[in-house]
Amino acid sequence: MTLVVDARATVQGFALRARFTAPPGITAIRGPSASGKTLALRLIAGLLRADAGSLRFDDEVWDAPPGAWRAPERRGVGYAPQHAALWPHRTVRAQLDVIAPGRALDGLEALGVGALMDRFPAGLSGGERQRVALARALLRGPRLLLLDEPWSALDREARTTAAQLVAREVRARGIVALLVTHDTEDVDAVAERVVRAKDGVLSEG
Amino acid sequence: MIASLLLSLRVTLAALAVVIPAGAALGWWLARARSGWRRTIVDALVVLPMVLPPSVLGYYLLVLFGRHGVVGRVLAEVFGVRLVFTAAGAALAAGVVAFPLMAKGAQAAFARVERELEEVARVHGLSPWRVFREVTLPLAAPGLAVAVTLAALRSLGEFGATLVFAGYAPGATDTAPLEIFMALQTGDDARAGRLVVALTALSVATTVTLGWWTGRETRRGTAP
Amino acid sequence: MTRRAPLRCLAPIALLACRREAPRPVTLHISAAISLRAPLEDLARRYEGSHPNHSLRFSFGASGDLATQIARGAPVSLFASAASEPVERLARGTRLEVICTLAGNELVLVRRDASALTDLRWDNLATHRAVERLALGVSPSVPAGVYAERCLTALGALDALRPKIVRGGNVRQVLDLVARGEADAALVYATDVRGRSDVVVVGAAPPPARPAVRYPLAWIAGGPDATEARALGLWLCGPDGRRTFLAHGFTAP
Repeated sequence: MTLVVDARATVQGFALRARFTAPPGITAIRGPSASGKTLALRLIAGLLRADAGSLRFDDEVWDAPPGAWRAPERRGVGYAPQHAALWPHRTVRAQLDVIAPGRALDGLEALGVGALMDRFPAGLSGGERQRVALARALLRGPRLLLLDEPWSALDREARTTAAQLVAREVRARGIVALLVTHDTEDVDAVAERVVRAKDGVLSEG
Repeated sequence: MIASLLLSLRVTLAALAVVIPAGAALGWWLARARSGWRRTIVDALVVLPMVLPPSVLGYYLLVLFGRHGVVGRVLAEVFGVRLVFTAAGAALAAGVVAFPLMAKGAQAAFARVERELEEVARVHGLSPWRVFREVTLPLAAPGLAVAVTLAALRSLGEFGATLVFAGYAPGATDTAPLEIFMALQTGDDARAGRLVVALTALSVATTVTLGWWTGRETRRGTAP
Repeated sequence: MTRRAPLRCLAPIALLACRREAPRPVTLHISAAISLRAPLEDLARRYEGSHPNHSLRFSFGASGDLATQIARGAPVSLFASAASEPVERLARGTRLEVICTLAGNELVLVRRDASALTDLRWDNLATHRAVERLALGVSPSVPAGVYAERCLTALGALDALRPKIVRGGNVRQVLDLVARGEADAALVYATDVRGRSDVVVVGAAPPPARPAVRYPLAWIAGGPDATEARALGLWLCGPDGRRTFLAHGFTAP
């Protein structure tokens, strides 16, 4: 399972040009703010379409203008956005259930989400929300994991726990993971490769 | 008098049966469409019934749906459907005036739902329709309830366009507002007064019921 | 000498009192049945011509509606009704005086210009298949509607036609419904259809059912410029008025 990105997209005047390959394991995407990191994740998730080039995963063509396109819900992606983006109107249990009915939190106990199941997002701290978002991203057993500064609100200890859990899941299932981060410690701790982002251009460093 | 009120209710329910889904759909489109000439034109058309005086609106309805109107001709000759002097015509007039309130209210309700919440649902396997049902609709519900209330009240109170377009046909188009007018015209102030009280009560009951339902959904936690 | 002085002082004042004053402007408000519009506007032009300080303002509508407005205090000096009932109803609460009956009219059956209706007559009106909608004035506020119902009752046709009856707010609206195709036939006044090519006149009501259409003119006491209004009323009732109404297709009262 490999992600092959070679695509261009323009969003509201911002030109994105991404060219890299991500094999199974954690690939970090590093770069200053507004360099196109989040935009790249959205492109890969299928939340925006490329203008040119192609986006492939394994033997599937996810995005290749003019015609080839695979809808986001069919890509098997797990996505933890920067500010968690939990649904305010459902309990943690309910929203996890909508995505993966009946699926238990096996293997994800370390995230400590079990204690939060009957709470509403409004009653959770920033860190708790991010942990729920991570659990949500992993719950369906995705083929590709997109993590956008997924533990920025967690303290050092929780961050290490989460990072180790993600690394373990990625290794165990042999899935591809992209980790957008500012933190160099993150990069050194879990990333196996690095993609650099600068002024909308993403390429392997 | 009861007959008038029942007719008003029937006409309003018939109008809402079309206005609520059509208005919500159009409101959703307006909230999500990219700005451009297409959206501007649709927006202007949606708001038009609110901008026109009711009698002018009635006139345009006649031009379109009257016996010799552009659409009315086809309806009468091909489908045998008449609108003037029928409850259907009254429902059309009530629906046309209520539509902008539903559409614009729905637009505001849907615009308030953060895109990211919908996107994250999509990425995690929910089809667009399920995203709408599980995320968009529940979050937009309070705003939609307000839009429905406004549309329902406008429909109940509709008079000018109905009188000009659907006409006065006792038993078919004599809704409560029309009956109040007719009673005042013929000097029957007592009857007019009774209808006024009844229509006021009906309007207040509608508002209270919808307000209670919204409050319940908010407390239940399906609304933010 | 001193005793005569006061008299001499009075002289200029007397001159002032004798000086002729320009006639003050007079506005007369007349409420009239809408079927009287053409002849009344005609007469108004002539009257304003010979009375330059007079200005005649009309409210045209259904006689019943007009009576209600006057009862509620509309500042009207003359009321020309298409039937006596609205005047009688008004008289219960308002001081008025009927000056005369201005004219009479005929109730006629008219129909759409459609092939399916070419054989429509008064005697097959109640059972004619192509008549799905028969337009009448709202009763009791539109006298044409009341006359029509009385006429149909006299013919024994009202019950059969009742499910097909649709209403117009005044007699012109009733005619308009047929012209627009929303009604297949209507009962209106003969004067309403003069010069119109968009409807077909079937004929006047048959003698046993003919309603006596009369237009009483009432002078409303206490209205503004009441004296001048009365003078106008008397003139309308005179030979000039009679001639004009006949010229517009009305009958003698």
